[in-house]
Amino acid sequence: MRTGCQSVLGTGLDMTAVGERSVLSKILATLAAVALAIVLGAVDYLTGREWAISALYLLPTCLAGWVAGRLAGFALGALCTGVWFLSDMLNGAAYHHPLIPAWNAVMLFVFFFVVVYLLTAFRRSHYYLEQTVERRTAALRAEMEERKRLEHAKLQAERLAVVGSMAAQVAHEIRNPLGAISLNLDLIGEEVNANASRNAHPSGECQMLLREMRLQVLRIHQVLQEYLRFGRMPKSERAVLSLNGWLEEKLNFVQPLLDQNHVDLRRKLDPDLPPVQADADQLWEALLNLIRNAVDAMPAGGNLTVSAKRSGAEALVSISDNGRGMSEEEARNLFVPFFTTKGDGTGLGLAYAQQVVSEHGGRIDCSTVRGKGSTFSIQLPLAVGA
Amino acid sequence: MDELEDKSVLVVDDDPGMLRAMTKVLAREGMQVTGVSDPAAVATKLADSEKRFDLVITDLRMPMFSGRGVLALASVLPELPVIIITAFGGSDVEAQTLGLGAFAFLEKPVTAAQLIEVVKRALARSPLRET
Repeated sequence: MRTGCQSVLGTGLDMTAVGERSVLSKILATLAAVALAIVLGAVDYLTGREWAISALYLLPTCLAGWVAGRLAGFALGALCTGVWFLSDMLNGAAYHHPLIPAWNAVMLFVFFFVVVYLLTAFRRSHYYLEQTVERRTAALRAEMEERKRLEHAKLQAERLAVVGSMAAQVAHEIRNPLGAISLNLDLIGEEVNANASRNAHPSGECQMLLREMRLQVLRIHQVLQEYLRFGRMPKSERAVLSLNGWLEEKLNFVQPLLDQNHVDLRRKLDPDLPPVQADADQLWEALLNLIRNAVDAMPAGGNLTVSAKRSGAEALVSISDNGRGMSEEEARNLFVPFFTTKGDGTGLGLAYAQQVVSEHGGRIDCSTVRGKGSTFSIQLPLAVGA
Repeated sequence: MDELEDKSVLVVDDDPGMLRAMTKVLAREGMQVTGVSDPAAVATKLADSEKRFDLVITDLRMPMFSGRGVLALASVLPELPVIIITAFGGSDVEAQTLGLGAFAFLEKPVTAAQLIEVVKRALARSPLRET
């Protein structure tokens, strides 16, 4: 069964990124900051109360720095400094030394520079933190989902094991009386024949009834065999198996069954498909179950497509039919042991197929469309070195 | 029927219905059948010097004393073939019991014809039959 979990720790976080704001919002914020700086400059000039206004120049500077980034912040800092200086000059303020306004402007710009620098540094660390939390949350969520899936798979495997051992136990218990019934039927048959010869009475009717009973015993025997096959599946004995040649041979074997049911077989076998490591007998029983189901889904005949190809490090074997497809409920319970829609089915065929594929480290999936058909896909790991 | 006439067989099965049915099928073939439903009595039966069995047919899973125990007891008499007939089969169990020296392994249910055929084969390969 495919397993794997993503690492919880993120890798390579981009420390230089400023944020995930859109270009438009950055432009709008910068324009708003410029407008605000100009308005502040006008108020500064008109009121002449520069020290009361000066602190407000931080607003456009911080706005641009926070939203549009460090460079925009520095630019707005420079613009605000310029606006403040211009307003101061135009107001004709008197200073002890002619360089004092220029010195004040430089100091103001340094102040803006430091504020923007610290603000954007904080913004970056805030963004980094946000991203880290987001990534770790996503990784945790993925890991939790994977754990949930594995727990579900484990639970299902345990449930299958319990069902399997129960089925095997019941099957064994039935086989004892069935053995006695089978032998007694033979004894009755002999007795009936002996009586018929003694009394010169034909025993045809009795023999027919006995035959019917033997058929029923045989039917019970077959059902028990299926239960036992499911319940005591031996560990797979895997060997390197070339799927193409093997499938060709096996499909030839089922050709008469398909002909009899007016099913047209289409083979799409990739000649370059590498081998897999599989127990050929178990795998064939699993595939045969899928083929039988496909044939049953096309009572008036149809097309059966068997394909095999490589999919990454796996071999993908698909069996598609254009039969009646399945309802949502049928598809949901497909692999549940004992679930069947057939009058004479045991409901173990697909559960067995799933058990075999899981045992091989693969997975089996099904897609179906009501009235159009179904496709079963089996993914098996390729043989080592393939 | 002649092949089996007067051959002595010990049948061990804790299921009374199965034991009765097997006993009847073999008796009809002219065999002298000793049926044992209590596996603990097998040792006594096999040790009985008055009675020499040509064949043992035993169930595998029985309370107190399993078919493997019967097999072990029978192996003391190396010329005595043992047929295992069980409801608790499987290829691994089959391989194991055949490895322990069983002549044949049958899974229930069997038909009378199948049972008789295996009994004939067992007796044919038994050195006792040849002497």
